[in-house]
Amino acid sequence: MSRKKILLVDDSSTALLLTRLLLRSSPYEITTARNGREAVVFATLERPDAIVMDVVMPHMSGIEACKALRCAEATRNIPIILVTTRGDGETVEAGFTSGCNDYVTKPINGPELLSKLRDQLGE
Amino acid sequence: MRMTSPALYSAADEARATAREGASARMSFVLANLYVAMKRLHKSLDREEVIAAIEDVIATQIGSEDFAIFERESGGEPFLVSSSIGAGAARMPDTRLLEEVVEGGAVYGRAVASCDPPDAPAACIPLKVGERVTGLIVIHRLFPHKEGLNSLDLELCDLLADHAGVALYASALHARSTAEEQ
Repeated sequence: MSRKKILLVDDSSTALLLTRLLLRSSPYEITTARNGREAVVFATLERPDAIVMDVVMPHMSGIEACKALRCAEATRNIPIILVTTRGDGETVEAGFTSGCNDYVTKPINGPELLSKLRDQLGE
Repeated sequence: MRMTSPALYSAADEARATAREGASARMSFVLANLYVAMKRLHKSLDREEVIAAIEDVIATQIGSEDFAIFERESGGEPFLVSSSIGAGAARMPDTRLLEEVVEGGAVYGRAVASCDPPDAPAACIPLKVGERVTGLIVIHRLFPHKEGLNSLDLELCDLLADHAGVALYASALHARSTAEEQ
């Protein structure tokens, strides 16, 4: 059985490296993208099982990418977890309005992210 | 007489195993964070890249968008801003705290339940090369959802104190030797 594919999207090398390391012992195949635009292209071509995406990024933000992914037939149902630096109501609301399924706040907590990923993947 | 065999694992055994698993997961999480910070700080000898790595570790791993990095040429000279992010970033902490951090060479970090004045920085980190303090990182505010520094944050601050200054120093030596070669 092939492993489930998770797309991590962040413009920070530190965040990508850390998240990849935190998910290392999980049964997922991890791929990465550096901004929202790359994420939309990758998701359309590769159809990952879930996306973990930062909000603030160059070229295309996580919120914009989320909206774009929800508009396209091919990516409409991919679970998206947004990673935000702010856990306040307004920011979270903007994330859910754009179509994300869940969110985590930075700095990323490995067990929390893994638990939310499992929820989204129905495990 | 018929003997009943005891259960292989008691509830207490299971509780102990769960606690050990939790402690092991927490330790892995701390080590992963320290490894990533170390790897980022020492990945490059280019000054701009080292500064970007320091900024990235503070923003991504400690959690702040309001901080500054200060450096000085030698012992008695004033600290100058090398990089700043956020509203109050280039502001220096008060003299007492500054003396404590620079002369003592120890990290100041405001913990979650702290009695320090609310306008005190969240952290003040000396950048050390050996015993010499060559700079400072002043973290004014953490992300709004963070109430203070936790034990992992303090470990990361200690790591920055010991390694960020060395990484900047190595980049300066590299720039000097490259200039001399040319």
